[in-house]
Amino acid sequence: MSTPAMFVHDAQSRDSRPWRDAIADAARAARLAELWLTMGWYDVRQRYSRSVFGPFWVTISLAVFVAGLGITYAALFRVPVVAYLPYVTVGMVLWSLISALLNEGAATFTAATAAIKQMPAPIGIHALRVVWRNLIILAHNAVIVLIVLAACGVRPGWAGFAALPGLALLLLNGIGWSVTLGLVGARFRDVMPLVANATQMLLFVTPVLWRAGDLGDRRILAELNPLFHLIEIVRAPLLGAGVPLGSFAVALAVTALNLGLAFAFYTRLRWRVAYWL
Amino acid sequence: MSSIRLDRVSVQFPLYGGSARSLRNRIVSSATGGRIGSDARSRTCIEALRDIDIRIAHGERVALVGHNGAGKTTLLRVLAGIYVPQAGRVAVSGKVAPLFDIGLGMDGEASGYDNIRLRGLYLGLSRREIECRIDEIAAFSELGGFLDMPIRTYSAGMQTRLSFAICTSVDPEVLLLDEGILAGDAAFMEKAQARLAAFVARAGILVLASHSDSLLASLCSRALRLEHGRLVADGPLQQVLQPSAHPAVLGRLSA
Repeated sequence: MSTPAMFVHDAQSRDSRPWRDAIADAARAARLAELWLTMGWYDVRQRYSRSVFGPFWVTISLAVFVAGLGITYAALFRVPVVAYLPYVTVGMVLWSLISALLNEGAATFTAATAAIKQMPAPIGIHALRVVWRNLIILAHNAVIVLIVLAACGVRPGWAGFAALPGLALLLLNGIGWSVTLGLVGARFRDVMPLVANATQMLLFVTPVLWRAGDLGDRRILAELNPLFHLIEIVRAPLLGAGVPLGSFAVALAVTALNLGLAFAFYTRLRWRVAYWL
Repeated sequence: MSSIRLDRVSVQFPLYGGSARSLRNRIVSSATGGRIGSDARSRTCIEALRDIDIRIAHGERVALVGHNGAGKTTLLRVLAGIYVPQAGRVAVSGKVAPLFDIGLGMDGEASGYDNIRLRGLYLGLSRREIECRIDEIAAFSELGGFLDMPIRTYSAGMQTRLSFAICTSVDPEVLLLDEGILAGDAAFMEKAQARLAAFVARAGILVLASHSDSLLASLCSRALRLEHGRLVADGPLQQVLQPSAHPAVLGRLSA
């Protein structure tokens, strides 16, 4: 049963054991899977309703972008196209996921105003819905990756599946971003443009279009960037380079921090969201 | 058995102006050493509800009356569990089905059928349970082919029909209705009232906020009058609706 047959809101008990309530609330959100899976699915469908290609528009524009970039930048970096194109394709597909998670994450709750003010439900469902909807988009974009890898002769084989745990970590970070940025974004409306600005800049400082190795003795600039590690743990296995254990360890730590922060925010601020919208 | 119990419940809305709401003000105020800081912190609050004590027992049909802005909708949202009060305690037992703000539906871009599914999921039905009821809901709403269209294309009356049909199909134990909900045409009103009466007969709790005395009289037996966020009268409907029960009068009498 998703709607509890009973609820108690007590201003006093909220102060005495806040995080136990938060855990129960988050668990209830997770159990409402049918609801957020449906909402995420409808989101994708509606965004592209009345368009011929639907969600494949993202795929098409990404494919065009990657093709143009792959050819030009391969010349710029003086590397063969077949070596550069798979790298930039996987990188850009992952980047568009990260960028969407950050940007849509900041709007998690403001975009759900109508639902939040009309129906009682743990607001965590909206964070899960954002991540799920972007996983659906990623599944569409994965087509480009498959085509490019096949065309350029990159055959990761079974080892390519080692990208899946990395992807899971990335999605967990997406939940963390949606909760934290979504809560702050519901209170402060500047967060959305701020995040949009930041992601634009981050694309150029993160090894997506270029390789971390290109930095030479200043490679630390990439190593200090958590997004580099989150991308690398998915990208490296797909390109047949195996699992980068160092990056994986960093990614684990980043995920733990991110989720811890999100939980602290969820504990303190979740009940205020209805007032802010 | 359903029941509602509110103890000294207060709700305040922080009022963030266009500037107070921005991050810039926070940063600017801290950078200039608190000179503007006191300005930014002294937030204006609207007291929507103050020290509300209410007990509603199984089978009661309660009218919520008061002027616009008296706190009726806020109180309904507290009862639904949407607003968590800043002070006091709310305990509601029974499955709650809230029905307010139909203007937006659950999702304006989604079709009528999709909105039935979304609202049903919110109300705690599984997808399978919804598919079982969807024909009945569609029939009651009498919307026919419109159910395949996005609900932003619906008129207010059509949205009312749809939301009402869904919310009353789940057999809630506590039904919360806001004014304007029963704004359909005469034929639908009749159907809706019959459905509400049947719901009320199955017992459970009905809380209905409305300005229509005749509607309240046909459905409710008890009334609560709110005035500026305070509960100023609680008693049998006819008594509370009488002009003599108006708080200004009561206030003068007690003073």
